[in-house]
Amino acid sequence: MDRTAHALALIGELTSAPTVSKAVAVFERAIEPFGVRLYRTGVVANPQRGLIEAAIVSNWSEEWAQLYRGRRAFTFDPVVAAARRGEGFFWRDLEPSARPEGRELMRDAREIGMVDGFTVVRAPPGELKTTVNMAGDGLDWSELEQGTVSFVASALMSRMLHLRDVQLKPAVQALSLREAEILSHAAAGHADRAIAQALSLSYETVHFYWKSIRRKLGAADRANAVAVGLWSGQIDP
Amino acid sequence: MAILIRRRQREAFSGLVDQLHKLRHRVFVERLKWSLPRGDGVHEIDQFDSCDCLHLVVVDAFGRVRATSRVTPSLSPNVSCDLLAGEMGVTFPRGPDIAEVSRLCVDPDLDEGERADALLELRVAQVELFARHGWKRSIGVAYERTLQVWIRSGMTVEILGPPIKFPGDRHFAYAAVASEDPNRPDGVMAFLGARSGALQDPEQDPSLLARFGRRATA
Repeated sequence: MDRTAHALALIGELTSAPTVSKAVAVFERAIEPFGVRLYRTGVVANPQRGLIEAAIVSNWSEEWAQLYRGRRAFTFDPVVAAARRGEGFFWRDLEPSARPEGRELMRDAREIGMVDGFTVVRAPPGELKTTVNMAGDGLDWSELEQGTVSFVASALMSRMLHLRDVQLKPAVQALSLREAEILSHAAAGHADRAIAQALSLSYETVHFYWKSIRRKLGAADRANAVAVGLWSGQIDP
Repeated sequence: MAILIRRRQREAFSGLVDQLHKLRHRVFVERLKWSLPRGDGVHEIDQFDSCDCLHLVVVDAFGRVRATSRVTPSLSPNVSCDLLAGEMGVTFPRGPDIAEVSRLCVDPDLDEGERADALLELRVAQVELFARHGWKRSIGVAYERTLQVWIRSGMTVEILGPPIKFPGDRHFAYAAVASEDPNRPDGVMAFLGARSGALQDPEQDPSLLARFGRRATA
């Protein structure tokens, strides 16, 4: 069985996986023959700015994640910029036109094993925009294989979002109207001072509401609260 | 609302039937550039439309068809089992609990929100139709974007073989079987928001004929 047939044969198992970890395990079996070693999946809560991205699952090293965050690399990462436009692309195609700091970032990524990568972006109507970044060495795929990898990656996202729906809906508390308004503004990328101005509240009051929002949603931070708010259907994408 | 049109009701609902074939032509022939063998340049219609199929049409308040799909019991002639399976080199399962879904489309001129609403209405009606007939699995050939919607709603999707690109098409099409999670028989409807009652059946509500029957085409 070739790797395309192997991956497509696993779609049934992936889409019936009862937990996120089991879905991820099937995903790993499906993409391993394509040379993918590292992956990071996420949802983009603010597609216009592309900044508020909540990772769902990832096997990237924590060291790289810290380095990436510390350099605020999302502001110049060519992959992030391309993900705003494209549906699927190889990272190698971005390098020639990348800015110097972007090329440096890609060089650094190669040193930790991300020799090449492929990113799948999906934004179905009325749904969250999702991204799956996959990296490895020697990602040389035919058009059919690109389609297959994209399908498998998107199926993982669709299944995980469904499982999150099932798990999160009963677990989170309902937000008040004002809390949902604040969270919606945050999802649109507005800072707290802008939110306060838009809702005719003081900056301190917005902060007060944030504590309540995070508590009700069990969220560790702002981005997590936006993601949970979206997944639990309390604010619109 | 999504109106169910049986074969014997096609004449009575000739206005809606005319509209659904026009919509299919706009989507599949004009937009997707499918190479389809028959047609008059305005309507998309094939030999399976005259078989034992059911049409679902989502209509707006003005009686305009906004979305449609064709549902056929798998034991009856249908485009997936009797035509596409050969082209794709796959075998679809057939049985009394399996139905085929084909020619699913939404008016491309609707904005994103309206499209999502029309598609939701169609999906709810489809789920209700399947439940009424005792169909547990659906078969068909679909693009990835359609299959992802099914997966997102909690359905298990199995791919029967390698995908193909039909002549002139940009996207791969997959032969697929979709089924609900047996442990959560109402899971898909729950995901869809439990908007039951989308399916409108003229045999149960004769007023539909008065409102939508033989209406001039939009």
